[in-house]
Amino acid sequence: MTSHNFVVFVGAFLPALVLIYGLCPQKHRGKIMLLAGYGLYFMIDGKLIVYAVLSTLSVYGISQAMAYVLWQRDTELMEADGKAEKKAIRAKTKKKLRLIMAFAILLHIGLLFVLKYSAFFGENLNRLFRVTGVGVSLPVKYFALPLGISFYTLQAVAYLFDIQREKVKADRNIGRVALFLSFFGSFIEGPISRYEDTAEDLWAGHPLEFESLRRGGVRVLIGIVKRYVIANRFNMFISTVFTSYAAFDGVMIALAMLLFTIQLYMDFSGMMDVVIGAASIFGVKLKENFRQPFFSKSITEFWTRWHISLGAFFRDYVFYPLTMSKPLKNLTTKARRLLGSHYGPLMSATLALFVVWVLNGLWHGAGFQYLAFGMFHFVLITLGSLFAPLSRKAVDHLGIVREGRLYSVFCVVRTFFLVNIGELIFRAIGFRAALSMIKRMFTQFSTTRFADGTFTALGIDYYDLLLSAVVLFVFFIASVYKERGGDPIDWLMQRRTSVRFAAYYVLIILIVVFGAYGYGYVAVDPIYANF
Amino acid sequence: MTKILTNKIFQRAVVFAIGLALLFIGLTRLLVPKTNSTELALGTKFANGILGEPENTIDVVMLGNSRIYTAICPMDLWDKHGITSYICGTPGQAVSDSVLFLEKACKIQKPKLVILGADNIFDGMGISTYYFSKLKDKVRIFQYHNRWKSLGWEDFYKKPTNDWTDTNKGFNYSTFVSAAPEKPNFMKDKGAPPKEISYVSLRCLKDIQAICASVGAKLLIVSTPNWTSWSVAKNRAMEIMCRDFKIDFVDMNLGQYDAKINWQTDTKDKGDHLNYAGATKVTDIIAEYLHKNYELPDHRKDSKFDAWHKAYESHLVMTNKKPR
Repeated sequence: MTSHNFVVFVGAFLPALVLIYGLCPQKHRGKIMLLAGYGLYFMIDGKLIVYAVLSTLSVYGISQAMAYVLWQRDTELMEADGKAEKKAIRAKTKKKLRLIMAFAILLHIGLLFVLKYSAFFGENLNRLFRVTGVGVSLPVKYFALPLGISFYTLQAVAYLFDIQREKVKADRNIGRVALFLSFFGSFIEGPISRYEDTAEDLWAGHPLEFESLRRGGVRVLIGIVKRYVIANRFNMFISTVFTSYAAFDGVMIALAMLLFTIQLYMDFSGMMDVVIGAASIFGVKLKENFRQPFFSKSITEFWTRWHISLGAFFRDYVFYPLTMSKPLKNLTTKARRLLGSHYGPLMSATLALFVVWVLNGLWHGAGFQYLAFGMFHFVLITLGSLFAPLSRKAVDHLGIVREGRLYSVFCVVRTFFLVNIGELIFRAIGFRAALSMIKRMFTQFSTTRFADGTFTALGIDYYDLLLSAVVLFVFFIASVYKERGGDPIDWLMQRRTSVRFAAYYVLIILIVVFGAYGYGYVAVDPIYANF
Repeated sequence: MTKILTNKIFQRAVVFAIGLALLFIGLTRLLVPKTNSTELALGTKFANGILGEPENTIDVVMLGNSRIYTAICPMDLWDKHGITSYICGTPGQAVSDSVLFLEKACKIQKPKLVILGADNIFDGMGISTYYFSKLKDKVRIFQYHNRWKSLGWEDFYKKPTNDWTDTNKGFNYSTFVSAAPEKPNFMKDKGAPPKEISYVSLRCLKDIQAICASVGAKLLIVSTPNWTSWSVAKNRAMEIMCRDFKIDFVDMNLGQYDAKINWQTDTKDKGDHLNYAGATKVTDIIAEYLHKNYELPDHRKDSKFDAWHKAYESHLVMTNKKPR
């Protein structure tokens, strides 16, 4: 998705859809939403819509096959005599379901792998063959990546897993399945939804309510402010410094790193505000994907607050199944005997975590920097778990109150710094570039670029910085309010009409007048839409 | 109906919309540049200079990107045949912006001929850019929003005026030389299929034709010499398009209008744009072509155009040329 598509989405597509949806009889609203999803997909990705349609058909077919196996089991169980026979039927069903699931994973994750990663692995294998003198060269093919494939593939796989686990029933309504997978909001950047959370609501065609329209509209506006006032504004500076990092000193690189972390958050959480706000207009409650991530006191906590739906996917469909698998369970039992109740279970958890972070890194993109991004977090989380008892003892020994405000602030700042380093690795043009940038930050720390005016020639001047600081401060206050359990939109909705109107005007003026678009700015394409 | 009108939500929505409209009007007035010499985006100052020309004095309006404002020199057209022309060109001008510049120009000028640079027909603009460009023109706050950074006291009370014009009439003068690299196959791929022209470009072209018709101007498309991005495929596409649209077309990269550009000396940036030496060659051909094919009046002896003589004197100083 490009920034242009985003403008069309919020400026024309969404208002038109609200109008058509409102005028349409309830029984057809689900179909309207489905058409809207495919329409948007086609507008953005053209012919590649074929992937989304085929993927939906395949998911539907597989889910029906699973439903048939489960129906067969229930029928056989009713006719079965004795526990042994029932056990055998259950075991047979489990085996069949596993086979079907393996096929589903092979097909869907396999397709994702081929389209997204085959060129990366092919190129690197060929490089390895060259270095080692093996006279083999694999053919490398580059494919156009269908929009949101990484998001809808995970949603599809989660749905099928949930059927296998009998958490949800396979839906016979193909329209509802198709809408769940192609909902216009979430196929671009998530959130990765679960079938039981959204499918019914999406298809139900809830009536448009003034309150939902008002609250959803404000949420959409907030999302646009995040993207247009902040994320776009920093884009040129970030692109220049990250692309030509060798020309800049440590302070500039540190600033680019900080601005990229803010940009990524504002872009991604802004898109989530737009998507969640748009869904809520239609009476659909999507799960939050962010929960004030920069207030995290550790990296582990950070990942429960940042891209929550991806973390939850890896937790429920990779981490738990791995730790509950027979080999890792056995490992835990043995390790617990040898290493005690803290370090024992940590062994299998660390192994599962390693797999999770390799997958998490690769999910973000086919590149060594993404793998390094995953490994960076794996190492930090593992070290955190390993040294947790020791660090607790050290803190207590020093007489620091762990629940105290000062220590909390220290933990938050430390986590924020580590997150910034992670995002630098993520954004760098390659792994070597990331290392070089980190090195420069610590070895070439100079402020001359600020003094000589280079800084303002890179797309952000002091007006931009001042405006950004004011807007970010307001978002910070809103985040503190949310952290304390409040909801800024709730707060606003309870104010007098004049105050509410003033707030709406401020949001609109921020976008229209203070938005970073037009001459002098390069709008950022929604960053996560590329994954 | 009465039920809707007395509905509280409806009433509040109306009040909100009126408030927003007033806010937009007020902010637009504040942000609109108070002189046409304000550089809103790179090069717009020179393109907007046409607004400072006296009414109905420009016979030829030229539109396009940097390829046109570096290739045709209006002051030399004046010198040769007394043709009054102005280039409303901006860097990377999208063809939708060409439409807007022509609309603006035709509010105060009644050109007899409009020249459009062929290059920006191929700018690959999408439909959303087209509509955003239209929206920007109608709701001007989108166009001028970034002026909040340079607001002064006079913005609060002064009315916008078009009090400035460019003595070069939109031409970008440069004597810098940076030779183009060898390109032995340039314009030799005779069998190339025509390059696709986007729906949006065709639509904009129809808009330009309609504006021309409304003021009685003819339309001419010129492909100025271009070593870096012109091709046989583009030439063929333009020939087909101009034949279908019944528009005159001059390709200076091929055939009878070849300007014989020396790509070692006549370019300022390795063949991307011409310098003044190259522009002189192109202007010579264009001047003769216009003189021969269009009945454009010679204003050199008309006292109404004294300012052009003064502008030409400045041009002579700038170019170190001697008066003829």
